[in-house]
Amino acid sequence: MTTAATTDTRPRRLLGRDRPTLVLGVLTVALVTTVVLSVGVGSVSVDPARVLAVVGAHTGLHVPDETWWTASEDNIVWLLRVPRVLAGVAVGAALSVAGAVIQALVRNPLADPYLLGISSGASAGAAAHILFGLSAVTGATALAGSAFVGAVVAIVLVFAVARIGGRLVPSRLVFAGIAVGLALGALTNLMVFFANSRDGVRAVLFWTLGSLGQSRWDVLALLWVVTAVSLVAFWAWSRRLDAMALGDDTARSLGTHPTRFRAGAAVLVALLVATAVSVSGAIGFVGLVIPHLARRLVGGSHRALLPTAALLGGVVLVWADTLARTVVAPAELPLGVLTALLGTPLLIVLVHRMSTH
Amino acid sequence: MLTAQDLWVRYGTSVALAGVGLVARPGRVVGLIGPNGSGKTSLLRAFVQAVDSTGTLLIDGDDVRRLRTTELARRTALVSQQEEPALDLTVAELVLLGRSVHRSGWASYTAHDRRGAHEAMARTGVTHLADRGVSGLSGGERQRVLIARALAQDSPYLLLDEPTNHLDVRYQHEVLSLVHGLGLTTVVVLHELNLAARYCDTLVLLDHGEVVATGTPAEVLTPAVLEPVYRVAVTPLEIDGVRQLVLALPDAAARAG
Repeated sequence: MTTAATTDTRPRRLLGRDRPTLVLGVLTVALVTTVVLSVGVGSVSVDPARVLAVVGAHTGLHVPDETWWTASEDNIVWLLRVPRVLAGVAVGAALSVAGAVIQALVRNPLADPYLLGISSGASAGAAAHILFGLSAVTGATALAGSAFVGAVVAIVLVFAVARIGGRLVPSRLVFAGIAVGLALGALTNLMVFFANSRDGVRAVLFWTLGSLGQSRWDVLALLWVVTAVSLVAFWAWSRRLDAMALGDDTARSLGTHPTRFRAGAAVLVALLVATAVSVSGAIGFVGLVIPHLARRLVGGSHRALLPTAALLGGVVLVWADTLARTVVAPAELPLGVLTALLGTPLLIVLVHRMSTH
Repeated sequence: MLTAQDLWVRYGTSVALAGVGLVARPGRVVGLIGPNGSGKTSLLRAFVQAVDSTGTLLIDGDDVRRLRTTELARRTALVSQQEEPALDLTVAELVLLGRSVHRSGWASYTAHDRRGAHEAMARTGVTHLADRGVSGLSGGERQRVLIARALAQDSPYLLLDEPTNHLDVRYQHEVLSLVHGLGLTTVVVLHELNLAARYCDTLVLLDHGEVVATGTPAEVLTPAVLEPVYRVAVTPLEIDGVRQLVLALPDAAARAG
């Protein structure tokens, strides 16, 4: 899909009025195919028929009389890869939608979901957990929980700073996000500096680079619920987001209270990103680049843009993660490094196109 | 009817409006004129609560500050100077957005909405641009598209902040002649006094946040009223029954005289 998006230039009406419908249809098929194929890919390869059989048996959709796949295939598919791929879909969708929304809220095409200092907060929380075990429970859920707490602390700080003596206008929100992000980044570095454990430092580094390797069933439910609810809410607000992108006065003239709406929507973005980041670490570029690709596919109207960005983000992130876990197998590339490597050239192309018309 | 009484607007310690009054009667076009920084835009934006103000602000007898933002949007359509079409909507999508004040977040646009948007585009002559991206328009095209968006909103009150900015002469007259013919109660901020003279029923002249004069163009656009405010020499003429002005620097006028 990404190549189709970048080579597609102006004629948005090329395929007639129903172009968004067509794009969404194609992306839905692409997402389902992506999920089935990528679950099969890895150090142990499992063909799509077996993948579907295992999933069918576990979900009770199609329980066969006898299992014709091995127990290890069952474990690999159901316990490791399915949750990982499903986490990839949700994180990709969450970051892409969050990016599209934040770009409209602050009216800046270069804004990304981490603008609000959320990834720095989540990293600080994760580092505190990994290095100093600031939590009674251990394991992936506790790590995600600590990261989430860190992200929420960041959100609270950003809004507190942004609202000191004034209305919540875009520039204030951006400044507050940068300030809080820098402060919490310094805190993370301080913790790493004073840490005794070499393994711990390595774990913090790996976490901050982003990975879906920690995705297990127990963290998936919350991630999917938050992602789905946010998507529905933002979709219902899609015309308000269009109006916000046109300026505060215009938004007001179209019945949206700009500062209140910006505050409410930014809180929801922050919670969405906090949830995603607490599962995956700070995966960069997805939330910045995917909204722009989606705009090239279906235009700027959020009603079509948001679902397009969600599906496209899911597809791209799952394939990126598949690449990350296979290209240097049995080792794993940090996903954030890979998305940055793939995203940078795309971003350069997009900026170039932006400046030419 | 729009009414403002003893209206004050402050930005920090500076006073933008100091006890201003305004009445816009049904179907009339009220022009707000005055030098830069005289408070014209603040007065316009106060009606949609875009600036904090104190004093009386009524729309059809209802206190503007007590109306919900959505209700206010159904009654007033504002074309602001601060429009930023940053993200890529098409002209048709932007004009349709005007209809969104009548629809909840879940609802799709109806055939009635699409018809309304098309009529609005036809009235401002932008139908041929419908599928173009807004970001690629010229200043004049954009201005007419924004007015179409406001018309699609179908609100009884139209508030326009310098709608002739960026337009060449022909379109300045077209846009204002269009606005004048709409029959909507309109408050319009204008820089160009001769356009104000031709297309407004009532003029309100502001200076340093206060109303200096209110009345018909013939009453307000006189040398005695204008010269102290604008600090230029004013020579009024009557052309086809319309007051028009020739403006020059005072010393230049003295030399010519």
